[in-house]
Amino acid sequence: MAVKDRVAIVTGAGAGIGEAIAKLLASHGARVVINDIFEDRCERVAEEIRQTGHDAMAAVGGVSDREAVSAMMRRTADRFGKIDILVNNAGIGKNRGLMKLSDEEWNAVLDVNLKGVFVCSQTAAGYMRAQQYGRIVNISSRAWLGWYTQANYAASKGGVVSLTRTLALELAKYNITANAVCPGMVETAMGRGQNPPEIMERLMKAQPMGRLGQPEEIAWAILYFASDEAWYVTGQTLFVCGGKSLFATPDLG
Amino acid sequence: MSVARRAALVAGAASIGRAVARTLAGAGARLAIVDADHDRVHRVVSEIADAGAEAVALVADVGLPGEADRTVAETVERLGGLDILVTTFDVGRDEEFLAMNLEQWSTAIAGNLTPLFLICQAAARHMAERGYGRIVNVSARDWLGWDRRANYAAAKAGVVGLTRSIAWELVSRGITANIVAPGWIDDERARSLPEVVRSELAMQPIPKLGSPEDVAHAVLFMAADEAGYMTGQTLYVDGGRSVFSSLTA
Repeated sequence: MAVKDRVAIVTGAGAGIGEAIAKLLASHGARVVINDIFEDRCERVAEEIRQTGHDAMAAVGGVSDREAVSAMMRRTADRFGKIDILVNNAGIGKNRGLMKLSDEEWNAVLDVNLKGVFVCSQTAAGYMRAQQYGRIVNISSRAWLGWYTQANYAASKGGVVSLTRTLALELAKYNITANAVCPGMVETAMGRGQNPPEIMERLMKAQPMGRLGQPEEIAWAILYFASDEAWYVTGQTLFVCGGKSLFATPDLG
Repeated sequence: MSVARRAALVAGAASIGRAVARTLAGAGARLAIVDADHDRVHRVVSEIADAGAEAVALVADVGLPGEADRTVAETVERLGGLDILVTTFDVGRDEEFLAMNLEQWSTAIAGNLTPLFLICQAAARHMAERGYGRIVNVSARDWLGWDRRANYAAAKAGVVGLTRSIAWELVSRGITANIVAPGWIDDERARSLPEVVRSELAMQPIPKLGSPEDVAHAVLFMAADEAGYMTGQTLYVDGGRSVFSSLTA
């Protein structure tokens, strides 16, 4: 799984899955740019990575803000000389039953989860095309298959899948691959913060494996797609969801 | 990475099986390789020995009654366990559907699917007892359906259905079961069909042949300890060609 000396940008890397991805890539020798909208989180993760003897740079900014994204990519190229790997991980959720879902809730989720992937991918692909090398890995979600109270989230993540497949087709000739990972329920601070322990317990028991995924287990799939050796793999959608995509039924939560 | 010290059985020692065995051995797994062809399996084992690793050669046709059980028992005895099973059966003769005869049909089913059922069951029985297992079955992108390959496509679709069923039934037993589906790979078949390959590759997003090592790398990814939250999945190593087909998540 070679990512050694590759330069990787991970969006939404200030916590949870993104943090795990950044740390795993760094531990395999990649130089990592830690993007998040929270500056303190960017700095903390970057500093923790540096303390393990690897190179990391904090880059605060929103993923759908074209100017901010351009500036981040420019800084990355100035500092590290190239952009090899882009992991579009930043995402938000605003769950609400369909009949009550507002335009604001729809737009906010689509803006970060889908437009953010478009803007970051397009900008990074400019650098990757010039280098004739690139790995784009997008974090979709098992929920793109459709889920209760997630019309906005599911649509955004479904959009990520079709965008990924189109990136794969259009960018293949520049030696750029694009793949998507679809996590199921993952144990993150965000999830624990939002749910009381008894709800977390119930969610866990409702998973086919009887447990939630760990951020590191999602990061493992990103490392694969980001590696040199995965050059022949593009346009793929891989579920890392404890088997739930096999036979998702409502009573599995 | 995380197949180190694991006991792995690779079934099939042709091009992809050979690459898988060498890759797993290189990553530190303890290895047994089974093939019906005595010379083929011993050749791979001596290559691995030359590279400074170790592997056990087993000669058996695991599609025959009792042979899969014997193979798994011998693997467990020689390696002290069985954590990882990778199957790479690949039998199929190209023929137009309208001309395909029963023998060609039966050869593909018997060569790809029957040994798969038997070896997966024998291995999974052992793994279920221990509460840990990684099964990776090599199917083919052709399972989506392709010219002159009705027998092969049906058998390779069977690989997907069987693997997903194993994944679901054993999801609570610590066993994952996943599928790698290669597209055009630089192997004997591709080399025997230069004209077909040329026109096929022209239609691929990545217009090149993959290597057996590319497939092995995907197998290694799915066979690792860290891949424990992923089961029942199909990963295409096919230069992006499957993007032109509908999603089969």
